[in-house]
Amino acid sequence: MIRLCVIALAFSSFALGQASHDLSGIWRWSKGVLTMSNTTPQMTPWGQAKFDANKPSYGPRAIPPALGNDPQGKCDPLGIPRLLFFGPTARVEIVQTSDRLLQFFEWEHIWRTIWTDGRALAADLDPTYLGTSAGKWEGDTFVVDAVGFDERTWLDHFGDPHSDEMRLQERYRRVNRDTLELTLTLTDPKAYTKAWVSETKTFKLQPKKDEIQEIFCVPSQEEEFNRRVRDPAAGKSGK
Amino acid sequence: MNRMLLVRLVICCVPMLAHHGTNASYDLGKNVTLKATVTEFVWSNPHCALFFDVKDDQGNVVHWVGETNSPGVLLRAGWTRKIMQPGDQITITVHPSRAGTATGVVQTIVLPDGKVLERGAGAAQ
Repeated sequence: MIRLCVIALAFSSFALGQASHDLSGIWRWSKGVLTMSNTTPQMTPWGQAKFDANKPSYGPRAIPPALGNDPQGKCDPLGIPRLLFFGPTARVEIVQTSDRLLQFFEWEHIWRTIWTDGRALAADLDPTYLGTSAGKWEGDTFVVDAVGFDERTWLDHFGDPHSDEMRLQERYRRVNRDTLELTLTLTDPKAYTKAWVSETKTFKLQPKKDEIQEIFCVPSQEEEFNRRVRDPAAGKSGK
Repeated sequence: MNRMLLVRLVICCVPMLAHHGTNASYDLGKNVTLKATVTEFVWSNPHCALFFDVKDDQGNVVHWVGETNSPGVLLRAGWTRKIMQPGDQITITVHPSRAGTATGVVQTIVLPDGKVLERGAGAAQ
């Protein structure tokens, strides 16, 4: 009986939105399109030019990697939010400390720091691949604001662009022990004529034994792979 | 490719999850199963590659290469760096290249001891 009460309390704490502000664990993509949403806002001329110049190897515009220019093909950093849209192949592990929340991305084997020490985001940050992020709890939702992104990364696998003016807000909510939901709002007046609000993404908690693997993207090995595999696959000579 | 020894040709219509450029480079609607001899297994990041020889119906050896996932993904699927050695006789199923070259993205491999290797989870198409 006591055990049942404990279990009931644990579940009710999530149901009532009184979870322990704990997002830690190994999470795997479960549901959602691998971009903000299927409805892209109208792009500015600058955004459209970037989109047209990007030659992806995923989605309706996909061409073989040997013929495209996806930064991933050369192991260039994917950046945020693309790493969040990577899909079920790679996990993300969340670790929380007293002044930050860390996202360890299995793909590229890198981490992102989300500061939780109350700092404000500076207005004139030098752009970086992962941007600069600050997070805080609003009830049961962890809200992250991020700015200062390097515009050389793509927004997603499909070649959607962003600029260094992109501001991103992520809202994480752990709806039960095993389920983490994420919605994003992207504001980038240089690339899009209005804000882009995502659909809800879902991640599922993985067992602890499913540890983060070392999945580097090694430029020399990827170059060799391109030469010996991707080029022949596309009909190019792989010498 | 139609001159090569095709043990089985299966057309399927189920869309699959794949990794970088898979849908663009390979015909995911076709499975080609081949009796093959391993020549090299390259364990590299972020993609491993399997090189193997297949005899065509004239008895000529055709050099194939199969694209696979990253070591981290393959480890989860039960692969290891040394799981295949040159000379191993395998039965391999791939989605073949759209360009018609002797390349494919690996789906399953039956090892000499009968163990079946699956490709592991994929990412976006």
